Amino acid sequence: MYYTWLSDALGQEFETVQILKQSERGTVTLIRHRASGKKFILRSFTGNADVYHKLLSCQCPNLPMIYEVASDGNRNLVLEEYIQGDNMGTMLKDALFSPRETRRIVRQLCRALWVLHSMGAVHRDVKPENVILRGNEAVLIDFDAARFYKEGASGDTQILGTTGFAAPEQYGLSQSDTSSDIYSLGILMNIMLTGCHPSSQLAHGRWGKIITRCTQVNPARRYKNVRRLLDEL
Amino acid sequence: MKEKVCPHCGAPLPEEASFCPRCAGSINRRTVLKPPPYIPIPFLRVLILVGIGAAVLTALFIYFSPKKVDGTGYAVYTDADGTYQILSNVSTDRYYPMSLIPQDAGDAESYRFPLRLYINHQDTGADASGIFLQKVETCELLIEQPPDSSGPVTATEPLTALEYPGTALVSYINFNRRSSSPIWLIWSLHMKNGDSISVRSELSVTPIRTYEYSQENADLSTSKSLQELIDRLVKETNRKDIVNITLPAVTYDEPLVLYDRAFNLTGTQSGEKRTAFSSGIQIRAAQEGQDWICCFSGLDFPGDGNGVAISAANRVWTRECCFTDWNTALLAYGNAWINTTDCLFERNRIGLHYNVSGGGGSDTRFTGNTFRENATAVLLEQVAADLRMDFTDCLFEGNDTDIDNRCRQPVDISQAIFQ
Repeated sequence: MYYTWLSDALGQEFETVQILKQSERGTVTLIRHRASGKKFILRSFTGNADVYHKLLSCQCPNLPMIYEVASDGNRNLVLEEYIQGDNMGTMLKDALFSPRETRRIVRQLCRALWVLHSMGAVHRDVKPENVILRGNEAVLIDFDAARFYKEGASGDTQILGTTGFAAPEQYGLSQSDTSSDIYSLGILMNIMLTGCHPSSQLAHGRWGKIITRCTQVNPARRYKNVRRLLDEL
Repeated sequence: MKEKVCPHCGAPLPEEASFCPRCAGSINRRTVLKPPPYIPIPFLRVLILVGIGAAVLTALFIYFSPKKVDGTGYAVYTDADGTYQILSNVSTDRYYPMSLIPQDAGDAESYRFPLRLYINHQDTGADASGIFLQKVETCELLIEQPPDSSGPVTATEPLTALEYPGTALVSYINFNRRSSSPIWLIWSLHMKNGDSISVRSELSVTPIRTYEYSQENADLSTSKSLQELIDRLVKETNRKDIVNITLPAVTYDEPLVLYDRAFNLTGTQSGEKRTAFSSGIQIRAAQEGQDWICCFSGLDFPGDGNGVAISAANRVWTRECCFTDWNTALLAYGNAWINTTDCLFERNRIGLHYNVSGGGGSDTRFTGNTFRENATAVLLEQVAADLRMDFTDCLFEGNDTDIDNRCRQPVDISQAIFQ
């Protein structure tokens, strides 16, 4: 009922600026409020929107603000903050990040992941393309792959994530949990510093040690949680 | 569908809406989330160790540093040997702490009372004065009082006092009606181990009125007129007030009965004649809650070999009085306490007779008396208070029995003369 109402209301009060992504699961559209000109991201997708529902009531400078979520069976509509900034994936095509910048950005991403993990959610798709740099703040976006971690479950029901960044357990070896995000963050750190996957070229010195620990195949040997990683950084 | 309105633009919205599509405003409450502040584990470990170390050092410091113990009325002090209760009071009851000591003050220039310090074993209640005083380096009786008091309170140096058995120390407190409140009497003990103990009691001085009577302003010529004055004053005066009656040099031949309040009777002399009571004086028992003491001075009690000169069921002090030829000159019974100083007891069957079953003692002085040619000069049949009766400077001369101490009352006769 509310899904239909929201869908109609958005149609009346907003206009489409650009379709950013379209897949089997749904579309991501940049829309603009007709009266104020303010831009928003509208996600229309099928699947689980629990993480978005949780994020409705919280605020973190390193996560986009979720303004509205409406579900109708398997269909979901999510209205979220449009983060205007530079996509890290695009930036990495031209240059690497200095250790100091890497430290600052990864610490901010740790804060974003801490919020998700403290709700019992896992992002499951931490990669440069899902990080927007807005001034001095890094914002982690795109929770389409996110899910809630279930204690005792043996494996994920759906393989999601991005090859190269996804932790081994995301390929069905076991259930992905918060340490899966730590794995991806380790890969991200190495690429920010070297431009390469750690299996090709590991960052030097202490960074190398941190990344190695983040990317252990056995999740139990990674940092216990992002708080520990944040402390290490 | 239940509805609400947008707080920003007033547009109607479904109940579950978190966002207003019309004004593009967020309408739900949000909590700002951020990780708790970082405390590195090694730092935390150091912090805990430092905390434990500080706690241990503090405990050691407290254990080894000198202790200060304060109390009002009493204090409890513990050392390696045990726990002691240290009490301040003006009572013979060693377990009765007094945080407030009430005293009355009349027109005299100075009044005095003994402030007592008792030391008891906390667990057994036994007298611990002996062992405790060995651990005391110094003891003072400090007085806190308004600096501009027109009647400053003073105290004598605290000393052990044999006349008050069971006390650890006694200090005599001097005060008068002009002593301004608040007045704190503080026993200050410094122990050899560095500890210090303070026990404080507040002295409350109540000024009282004094009535003076003599033959100039009252009819004191006969036993009857004197008794009438006594009866009237019992009714008309406050019990705390002081009544001084200076008697003419006449002989009162009827018994005088004193009751319900204190009367101070002072005799006079005219030529060879002195104030005399040939039929004696009876002092009746005080009612419950009353505390008064009669004082007689310069009176003669000539007897005929029978009867009792002064029979006291309450407190009395006789000074410079003469008791001659009585069956019993001075009899204390019931709850009485009698002091007699500088008096003459002559040719009586019994001079001073104590047969007291209750009440407490006060002044221990029985000094300067002459006991001459009595059958028994002093008969201590029963004495309720555990005080040492002081017969310093007394003369016992020609008595059949000087002191018949049947109740084994502590007496000090070291400075008395027997001949």
